[in-house]
Amino acid sequence: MNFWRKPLRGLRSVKHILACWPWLYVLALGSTEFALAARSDLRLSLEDSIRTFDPRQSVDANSQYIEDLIHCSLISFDPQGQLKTGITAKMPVWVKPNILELTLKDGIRFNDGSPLTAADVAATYLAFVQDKSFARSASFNTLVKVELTDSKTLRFELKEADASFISNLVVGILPSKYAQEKQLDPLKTPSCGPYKLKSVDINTITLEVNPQIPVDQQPKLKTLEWKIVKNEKTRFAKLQTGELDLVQNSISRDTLKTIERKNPQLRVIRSPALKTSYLGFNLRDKLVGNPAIREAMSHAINRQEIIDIILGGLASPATTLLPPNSPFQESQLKSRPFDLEKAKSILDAAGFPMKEDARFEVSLKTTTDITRLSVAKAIASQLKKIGIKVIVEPMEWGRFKQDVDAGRVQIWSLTWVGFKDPDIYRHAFASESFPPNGANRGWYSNPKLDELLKKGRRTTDEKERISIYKEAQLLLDQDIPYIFLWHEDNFAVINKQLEGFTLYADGRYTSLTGAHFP
Amino acid sequence: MSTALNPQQRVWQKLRINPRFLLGLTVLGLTLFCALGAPWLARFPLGEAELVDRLCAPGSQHWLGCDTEGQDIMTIMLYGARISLYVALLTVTLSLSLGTFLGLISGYWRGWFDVLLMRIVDIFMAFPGILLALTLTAIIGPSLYTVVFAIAASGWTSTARLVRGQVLSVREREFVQASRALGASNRRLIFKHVLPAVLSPLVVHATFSLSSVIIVEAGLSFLGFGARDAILTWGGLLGQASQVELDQAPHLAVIPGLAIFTLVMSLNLMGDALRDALDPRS
Amino acid sequence: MVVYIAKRLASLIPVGLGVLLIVAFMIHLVPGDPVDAILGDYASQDDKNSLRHALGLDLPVPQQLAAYVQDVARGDLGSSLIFHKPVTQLLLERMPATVELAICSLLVALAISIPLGVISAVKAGSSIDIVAMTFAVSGVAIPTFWLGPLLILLFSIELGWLPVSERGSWQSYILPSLSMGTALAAALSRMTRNSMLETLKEDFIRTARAKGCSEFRVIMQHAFRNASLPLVTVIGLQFGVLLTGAIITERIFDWPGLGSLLIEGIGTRDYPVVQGCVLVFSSSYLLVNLLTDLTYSLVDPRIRLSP
Repeated sequence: MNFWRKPLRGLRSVKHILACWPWLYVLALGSTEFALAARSDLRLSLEDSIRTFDPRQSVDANSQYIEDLIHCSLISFDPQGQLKTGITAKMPVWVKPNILELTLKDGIRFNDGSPLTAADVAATYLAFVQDKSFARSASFNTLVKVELTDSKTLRFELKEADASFISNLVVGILPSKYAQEKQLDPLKTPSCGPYKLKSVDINTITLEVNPQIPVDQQPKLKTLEWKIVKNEKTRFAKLQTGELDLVQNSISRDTLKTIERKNPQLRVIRSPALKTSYLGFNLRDKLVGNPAIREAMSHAINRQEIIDIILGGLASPATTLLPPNSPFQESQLKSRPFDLEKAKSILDAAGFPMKEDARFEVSLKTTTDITRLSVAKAIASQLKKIGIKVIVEPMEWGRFKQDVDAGRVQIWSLTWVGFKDPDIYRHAFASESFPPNGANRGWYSNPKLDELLKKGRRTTDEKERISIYKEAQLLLDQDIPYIFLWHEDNFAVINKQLEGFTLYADGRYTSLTGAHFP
Repeated sequence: MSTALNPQQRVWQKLRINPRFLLGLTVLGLTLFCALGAPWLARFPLGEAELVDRLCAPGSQHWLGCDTEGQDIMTIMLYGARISLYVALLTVTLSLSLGTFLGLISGYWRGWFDVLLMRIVDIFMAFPGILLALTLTAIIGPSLYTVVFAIAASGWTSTARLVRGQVLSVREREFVQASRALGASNRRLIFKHVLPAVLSPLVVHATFSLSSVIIVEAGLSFLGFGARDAILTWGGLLGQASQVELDQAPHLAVIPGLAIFTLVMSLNLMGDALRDALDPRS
Repeated sequence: MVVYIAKRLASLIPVGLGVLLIVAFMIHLVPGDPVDAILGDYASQDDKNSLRHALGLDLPVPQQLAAYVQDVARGDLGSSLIFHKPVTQLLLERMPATVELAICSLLVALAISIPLGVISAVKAGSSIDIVAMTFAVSGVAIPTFWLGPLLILLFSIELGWLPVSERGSWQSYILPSLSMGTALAAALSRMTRNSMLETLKEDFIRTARAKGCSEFRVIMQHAFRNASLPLVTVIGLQFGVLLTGAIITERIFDWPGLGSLLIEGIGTRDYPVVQGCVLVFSSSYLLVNLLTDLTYSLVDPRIRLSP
């Protein structure tokens, strides 16, 4: 009894309690700090299986994210998606229009301790020349040979000048002995990245720190446990219960508004991404082949409304394919203002008068993904206001792609993702890229643009390239083969305690190497 | 007393006082009423959506809230009742008539056709029904008729088995044998004796089939392979809800979920009651 | 007995072959190209063609199917186009998860349904009976994909008792088996009740009672043993349903089983994987049915085995 009364007497007044409480706080904090060592493991999720750990086969985003952590490559990307050096001492140099020279950094080692040499690099890339059945061989069609000039310097020779080639040099380097094998055992293949593969289970992939890295330079997160969680609701639930520390993008945007309030242990971060959503038009179609219709639609779509309501504000309106963080973006372009009256008058002038309930009817094909479908329906209801009746046709992905490639489509909605080089314009808009050769799925053809894009690919001077692509973007803005909708942001829900994690524009997890728990 | 009644009257007599049957009938009747009266009961025209209303909570404007596109859920539910019932009825009719036809033939004539048909039934039963639905959706596109066709394509087998079994036992009974000995034609035998005997288990089977079609259809929608027509079925709406977090819009999952639950449960109750009433032993 | 089993096994072959042909034919009908999924968006037409040739996808479909059937006969299920791994290996990796889940759900269903069915039959008309049968009717009416998330919400997020998903500790089996077993439990408890009610009316029960057997013994040894006969058939049939029903449950709980592999395979047009999954599904269905018939003869020796 007395034992309890005594100290209480001293704290009787509120003032005393208030005065004491910061000290208690510090004490409490100190003791937890003392009791618990900082966590050094992180649990993350991927929304799909990792298809392969072989850098020669990885073409899907998830495989490449893991590749980025366990392998090292000649070139890598900075958070904005711009090229930077990887294991090269400096940026590669075009010694001739079709010959690229690279010099490796000193002291790079595989995680079995053996040094990484130019011969390993050559062997890795020559695999693509010799064997076309690797999924990634397609990116190295123009590669003719790789030569060693000395133990640290290599020359890549291409069929023709191709400035976009550098952005392909992100393949994880394999030891030359392994690069010659067709099948690799991922757990036994030495790699040179900050992490190494520890175990692979059907649903869990564990990475641990590469032991060859000196301890003081090692990432502070010693193990990364990747869970394959395909169900969005389950991912969300696992975040709430603390079974996951980090989920990037694959969380319903609707939940983001309230997630921090309801779960104080979580934090939402966001950052611009390399993702551009658009409406594509089949220009061979009688109706949408008419530029007046596309222009009117462009005025009638209220991008901001859709961004705010369906995308949770996680996007910014787009005027061109390249996002603002690209130096090649033409920032002078103004989006056509949202103006229903103007849209109507354009349609009237073009000879599409209002009939009973609509001027005409068009089909909009999209995938069955709920966000894409909601966006398509929102666009349909916006276009209804200027008298265009849009029939939304959601389709399973494989069939959707086949229909669009075959031209069995009027309007389609899609997103370009992860493009790094402006050569994407050639892939999407040049006459040589009509399907099945490329992705010019709207059959857009403009000789002037074709010429520009060819020149852009040949030109290795960065400044000249920029001006070429800016001109191309202006041309496209006049012809409106696409209506660009918005650049989507990347976002992540993370454990509030996690420090130092930043989002990369292409979604990779490179910054985990610098992240840590306090 | 009861001997004066013919069999149909006797069954009705039993059903009339069965609370399970009455409850089931009421729910089914209400659903039908909603379905038929949708244009008058709905407070908003179908297809009208305001994006700003996305996922709005139930309130005075939208009694049952709004869906992901800002449509009034009550409107969708009312029109959806039509589509749900339509899909269920169409599917059951299709699979029932195909199954009955094949089961009759195979049970009545036996022989090589019977052997062949039973092998085909085995194949279809061993084939994961969901796969059929998934591939059909990819081939034809996600429409109502794909769903109907896909479910019916795997549903006819159980009917065929049931009917065949019944026919096999009926055709050996004395009264059938007797009329055959008297020279009755096959057609007469089938329509006069065999079919009526098969009818009561078939009615029960149909009722349960209706309820399972509704559940299966909802499951397909959940997997993203359901109908994606302008009007969603209840299952479709529930499938849509399964892509939205429960705490964001609980009404989106709760309303169609409860509706399906009630309808399926009442169909099952009716099935039970029918089974009891049609059972000649009771 | 041995002859009978051999005969039955032999009769499975045409059925299995039929299933295989249908699935192979159907999946080739599906629009879309596995090469697109393998090479990604930036591949040129030449690359696609050469890969198609390397994989044998440029051959006419009947020829591809014939080659596939020959391979299967030799025990080779081919290699996944997407995962660059033998299909057999993928199937073996995933199979335990699905089988475990199916067995656990079946156990859950039996543990709920048998006591429930027996008690409600013995106490027919009582309030226990009414409660039990209300559960039985409602259990069938709840879609699995509705129940699953609700269970997660309650037991994992609100109460924090069980992990959300992920196959691992024994706790992780509880929610998936519960949500998958509920519908089955509901169906089985009705079956048990009906079957028990009929058996309890039989003469030999009266005889047993007259002999002075304890009521418990009458019910368990005499009545239930006989009543379980139709149950065995239903369980056999339902086991096949469980295996395919796993597709939905596996999706909710991220269970790394065959169902999720099948869905993935369809999405990427990974023909060998889809065909392999279906082969496993259908042959296990057929085998379980065979097993059911055999069990039947064990439970009731009166039943003769005739094909």
